[in-house]
Amino acid sequence: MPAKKGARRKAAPPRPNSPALLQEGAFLALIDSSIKSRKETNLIVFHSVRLEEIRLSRGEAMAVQVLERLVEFVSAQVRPQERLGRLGSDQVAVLMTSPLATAQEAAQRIHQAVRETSRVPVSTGVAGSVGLDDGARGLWKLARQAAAEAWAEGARTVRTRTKAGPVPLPIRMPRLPASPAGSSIEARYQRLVLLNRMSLELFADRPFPDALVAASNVVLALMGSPYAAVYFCDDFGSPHAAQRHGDPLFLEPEAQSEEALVVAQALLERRIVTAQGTRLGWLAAPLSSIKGKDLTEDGVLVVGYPESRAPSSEKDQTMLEISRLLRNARLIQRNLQQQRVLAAVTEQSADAIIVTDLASRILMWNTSVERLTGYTKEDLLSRQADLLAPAGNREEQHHLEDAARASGSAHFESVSRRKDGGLVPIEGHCTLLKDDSGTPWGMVRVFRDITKRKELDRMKSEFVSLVSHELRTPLTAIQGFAETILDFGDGLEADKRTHFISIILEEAKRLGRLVTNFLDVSKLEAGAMHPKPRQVELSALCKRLVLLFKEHPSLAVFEEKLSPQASSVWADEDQVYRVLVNLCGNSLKYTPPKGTVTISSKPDGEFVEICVADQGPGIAEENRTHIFEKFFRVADTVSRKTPGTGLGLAICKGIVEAHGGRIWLESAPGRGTRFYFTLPAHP
Amino acid sequence: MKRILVVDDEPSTGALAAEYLRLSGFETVLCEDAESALKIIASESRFDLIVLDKRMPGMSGLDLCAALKKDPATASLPVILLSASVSPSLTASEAGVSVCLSKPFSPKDLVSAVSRLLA
Repeated sequence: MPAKKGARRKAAPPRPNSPALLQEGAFLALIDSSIKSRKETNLIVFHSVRLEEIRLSRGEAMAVQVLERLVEFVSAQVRPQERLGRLGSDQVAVLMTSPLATAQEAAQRIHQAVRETSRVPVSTGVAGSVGLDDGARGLWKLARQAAAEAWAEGARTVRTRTKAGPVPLPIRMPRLPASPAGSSIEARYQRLVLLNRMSLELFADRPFPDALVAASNVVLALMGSPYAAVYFCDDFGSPHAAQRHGDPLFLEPEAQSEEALVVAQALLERRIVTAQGTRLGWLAAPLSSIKGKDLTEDGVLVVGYPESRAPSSEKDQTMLEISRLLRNARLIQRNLQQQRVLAAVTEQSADAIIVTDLASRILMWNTSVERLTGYTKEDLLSRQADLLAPAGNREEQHHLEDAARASGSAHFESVSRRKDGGLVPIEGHCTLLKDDSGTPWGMVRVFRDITKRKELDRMKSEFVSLVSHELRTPLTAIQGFAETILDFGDGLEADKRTHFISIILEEAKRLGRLVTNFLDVSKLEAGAMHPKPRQVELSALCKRLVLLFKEHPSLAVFEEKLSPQASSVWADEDQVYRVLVNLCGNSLKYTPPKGTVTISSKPDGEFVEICVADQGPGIAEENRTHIFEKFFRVADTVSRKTPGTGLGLAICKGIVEAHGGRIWLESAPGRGTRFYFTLPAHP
Repeated sequence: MKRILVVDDEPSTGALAAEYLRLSGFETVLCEDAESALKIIASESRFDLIVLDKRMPGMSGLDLCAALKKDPATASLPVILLSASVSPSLTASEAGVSVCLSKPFSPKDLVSAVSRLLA
């Protein structure tokens, strides 16, 4: 850069036609007073980003030069009423009291000019004072933030911020020349060209709001008006403005209320309306569509003129054509939106959904189908739907389709074939799909995997038959032996009679235990265990156990090894007793004759750990994981001889866990079994 | 004296059937499962009737009945089935069961069924 003659002073003398450059203090004060006077205050900051580097590497003089060049440039670009100021050591700023959009445009314009002519990079930020509560410094901070964002993005454009957040740049479009009035061929041709243009804008593949903006621009040219607005009606028929485009004059409150009136009128009267406001002229056309026999209003197109206009059939005609295009565009947009929603819902569904045509070829499906059947996209497309039915069920498929065709919808429960040959029980619905005119074109099947449900049903019915059998068995003995004693009376030897009576007693007790077990299981299922805890002495429970099992055939001995620090628990006494009975009962079943069953306890933090140990054959590894499951019975000779329901340990687990404790076991084949469970020591 | 084999895994029911039949004048042999029943039939002298429990671990009463019907030595033996289900079972008569008694059964009914079949 050629050196300038002499060193310049920091404050450059103002150029003849540009405003004086204010220093930081004065400038900030000016901004403050503008904000306080409630004017819309906007600050444009031009940040010379490399200035500090230049200052360090090339010296103060050079830095000053660079900055002054920037000042000159900016001041040449701004209008007289806009004030210029220095901020910081490397920023030039402009204060504008105009709408933010105007400030943005000015900033953009100046920024582009600076970029094109200066080699020194500048990043530009704009800040608006709306919602601001910390005065000029706050505004400056926002503008610096915006400039920094612009720099981060390469400083090709200007960034804007208000207190509320970033503000996008306003879109400005080149005005199109108004179409000529009249019915000459040329005029009509021109109108057609513009309508075509509008059509292209509306149906282009871009977000609908953008398309609407571009289309509105064309409307201005078509109608020769400086302003146009498009309203769409919601599901309740209320109009909402989707787009307002053109001269801000029409955005003023008075104009807006006139606009609202004319929109309402057009909707009410369902025809083109010409209206005259205090100064402005209005023309409005409803966007109507016919559905069957009904005429519905989907929105309104409004066009505004700076003065009254005489109605013209030509203008009306053009309005109609424009409104038709807008209505179609709107319908398509709503349709696309609905489709997107439907696609999302379908895809998300846990149920499998398949759409087929009338020849049962697969057209569409969701991921749940792939998951349930194991077939991939490539496998499914265009294949026959009976691909999914096992060979024997193809007839059934056809019956199903016929039923759906006949009555519109059919429920089915069937089996689906997976790609790997496996079968999955399913249930679902098959529904006929019709187009708008009521002609069927395909079918949709919605179905789900019911393996779990069937499993549950099977378990339930097995349980019921099990209960039935288990309860009838002791009843048979009780009833039968009672009958025997009655029938043979004195003919019966005394010891035989005693024997039969003791069997009756045994079986009655057994029946009682079974009923209790089944009731417990029901309670477990219903989550209604509800322990009623109190302090329970473990040794008292042990005494009761000894009594209960005194006559047990194994003649086993009970050993009590309760720790003095773990002698009582905070629990429901009956339920703990039940747990001990079940555990001891199991131990006794497996303990060798005259063997020992040991009940011990020890403290475990807030809990007491209780152990029931036997000297039986132990439990194999593969059974240990299942042993607490309902209905699980180890398959060995002991369990075959002593019929049971496999519920005892499941009940123990339920009770212990309802108290907040844990239950587990340690065992090894040949080395006995130890069942452990914990219960709270105190409340 | 007529010999009756009672097959039931449940000790109390088996004892009931065996005792009552004995008191009513029949010679009875009691065993606990289908396998031992087949062994006893093969090794010992003839039986005149068999009383089976339907639900047993291992080979069920129905399977045992079918096996007996297949073997020409035992095909003509009358079979009484004791079952916990209420409704008469079609499969029971298909398997060759002569009479089906549902539990809890009265031992008197058992004796009259036996008498009828051995008459």
